[in-house]
Amino acid sequence: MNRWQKEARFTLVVMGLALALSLTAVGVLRFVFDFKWHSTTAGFAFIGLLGLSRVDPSMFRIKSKKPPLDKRDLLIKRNAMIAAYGGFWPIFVLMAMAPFFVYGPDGKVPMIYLCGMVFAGMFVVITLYSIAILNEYGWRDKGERS
Amino acid sequence: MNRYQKIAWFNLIIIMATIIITTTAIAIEFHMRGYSTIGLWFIGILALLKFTPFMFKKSESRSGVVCDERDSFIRKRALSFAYTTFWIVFVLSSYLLFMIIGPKNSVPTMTLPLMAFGGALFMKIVCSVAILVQYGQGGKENE
Repeated sequence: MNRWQKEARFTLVVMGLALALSLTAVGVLRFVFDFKWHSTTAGFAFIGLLGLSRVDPSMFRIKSKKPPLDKRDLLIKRNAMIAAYGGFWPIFVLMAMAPFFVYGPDGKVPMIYLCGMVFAGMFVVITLYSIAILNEYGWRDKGERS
Repeated sequence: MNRYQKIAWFNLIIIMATIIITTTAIAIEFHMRGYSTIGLWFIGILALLKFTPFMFKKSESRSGVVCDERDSFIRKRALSFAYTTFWIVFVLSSYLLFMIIGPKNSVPTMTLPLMAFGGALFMKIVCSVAILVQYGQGGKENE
């Protein structure tokens, strides 16, 4: 399994963990401790775990420089990026149009919704990117090293 | 000049023409009536962008090469550059809006569809420019 596969797999695990912990925390705060919905958003603090996905070089024992990318790696990364953003775009348009239809043309959208769009977009892009990388290289270890 | 360069030039010309014509129409209408309602309809010119597959048809002859590896690489690079640039601009503009307006305030619902529309136009422009820059602006022999 090469470095990019490891990174992608690690990112997916961290993403899943962050999302699962956040939703669990929101559920616990709401239904066990009877917090108001507004207060339960504190549970989303676990999304901060996503920061872990950026500490990969030390975790994968990469000594100094990144391994060189060959043509195939470049193509795979580029395809993954296009797939990720291609998946993000329809979701972005849906999220942008939804308030218009829900609240009407004269309605107002809270700023927190815009922040939510950015975070949801980031989540979608990183997840799709990792899935696309793993899909192109293969999900399993084939004995490659880098 | 190959097919992708022609499409890129066409996209850029249509978008620029729409911006200029719409702005001029709104300015004239505003000057004459004090408000503008008709000027925005000129945005409809952008519908021409959807006609590129019909206007720049792929070569049907067996010997005519439509695109090779290099072409698809250039297109993919342009597309990924456009998406990345859009993402940076989107995050920065959202952050700026958040800082300027404040976390407890709200924006009109029209802002978000306009962001999506502006984002699509922005990506089209960046992608077209990236294609032209990678191929070189001018036409070359045998293309």
